[in-house]
Amino acid sequence: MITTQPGRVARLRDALYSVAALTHPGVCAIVVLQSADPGDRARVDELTHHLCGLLEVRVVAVEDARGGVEELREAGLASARGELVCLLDDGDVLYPQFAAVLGGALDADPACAAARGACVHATGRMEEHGFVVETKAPAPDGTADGCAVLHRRDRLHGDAGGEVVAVPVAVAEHRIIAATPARRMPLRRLARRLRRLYP
Amino acid sequence: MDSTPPVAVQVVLYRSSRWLPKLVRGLERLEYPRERLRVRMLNNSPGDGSRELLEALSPRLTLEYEDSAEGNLGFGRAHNLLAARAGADTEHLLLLNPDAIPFHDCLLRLVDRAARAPRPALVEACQFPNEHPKVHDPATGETGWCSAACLLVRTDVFAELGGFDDRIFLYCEDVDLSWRAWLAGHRCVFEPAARCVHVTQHGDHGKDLSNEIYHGYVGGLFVRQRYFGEASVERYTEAMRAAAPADVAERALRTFATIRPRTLAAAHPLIVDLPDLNYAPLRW
Repeated sequence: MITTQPGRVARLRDALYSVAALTHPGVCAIVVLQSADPGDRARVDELTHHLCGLLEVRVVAVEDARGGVEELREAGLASARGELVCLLDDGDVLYPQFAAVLGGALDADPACAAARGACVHATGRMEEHGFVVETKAPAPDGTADGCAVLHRRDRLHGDAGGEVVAVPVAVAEHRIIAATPARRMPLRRLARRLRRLYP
Repeated sequence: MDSTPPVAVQVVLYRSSRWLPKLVRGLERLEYPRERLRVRMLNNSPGDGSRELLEALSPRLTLEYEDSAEGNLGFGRAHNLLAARAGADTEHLLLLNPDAIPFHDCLLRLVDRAARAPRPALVEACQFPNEHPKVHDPATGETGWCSAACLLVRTDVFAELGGFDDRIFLYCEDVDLSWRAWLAGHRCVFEPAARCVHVTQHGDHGKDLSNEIYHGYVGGLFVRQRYFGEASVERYTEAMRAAAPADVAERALRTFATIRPRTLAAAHPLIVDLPDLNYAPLRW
């Protein structure tokens, strides 16, 4: 499920293509559009058209989300049907094996409520956006926030609880604008390091 | 749209059935005049179900499929065969990996870049989400070599160069093609606006990649012999022996001995022998 903010629909393209490329079977996307701008809706519809056959995209429009991101996510979850759900925003990009790896971890341990991969904060292409990069190593704790988490949908609410299993070889990028000069994105090196740590 | 040139998309399959549904749907979504687009696939692993799957998918585009009659031909030789099928009016070949999904505007952007002066012979798409980190000139797009995962090549230049060197079975044939293109006076560029998902097997955690590593070493030895000579091969061999299991390294050396090319005398500033075993400096 991808929440997108007004004026940021253009960023949705990468997020949707990354979801379309997931190797996990039966993936669909729910786009929660927080915008009253008909232009934004038209741009989302155009993207959906381009992805027709590759990815089922459902659009949930919320014009005035005073409850913030939680309200947006609730609106999206109300239309979710799948067993597993990943909460993204329009700046997130999943790597192709992300859902397959985390879904496999959840299959292996029914007690787990969620599986967490590695979230790499990055700006994407430096030439395109004119800025570079902040990188963040996988968090050492077991917290289940951020884009790199696959949740069991029925455990997202209330006191269902449950453990979070960490599988850092599943990589997601959170593409942000770095406010300060930062290191370049060492994704391939990161991937090699993660493979050594988690063979 | 009327001025868009004819393009032949060619895909070499090898145990690729799991990629076919999304590849085909991605090709169907390409924004390009259908009458100027032809897709050819050659399967290096006949009998793996790809033919039946393609029939079931009923692609809504002109697609020719054939099984290799001689088993696994390797990547370059199979692409050469497909290129030979292209008609005389085919201006460009789009070489595409089976684990790729081009963005809907990818081909238009590649073709547009190929038409801009000074015209490049090879135009590489930006791989997504894991972009290849090799350097390119941000102003001109010029790059030392182009990956063949999603690569637009002028058909006449591909023929002029003799296609891929089919002594290389897998990996580095694209480096070799790019370097021969530079030496022949052609240009290789990277087009960041043209994007293509490339899944890559490196994300298949737990998969045994020793065969791919072996082929990579053979290709690495080949291009070093061809462009830099004996001293470079010796350095590479030393590094390979330090990094690879002994049986893989020795197998690579035995294969290399059977395909060893002569060393070319020509040089080019973008053809560089790097100590870190890459084929171009990396951006990260």
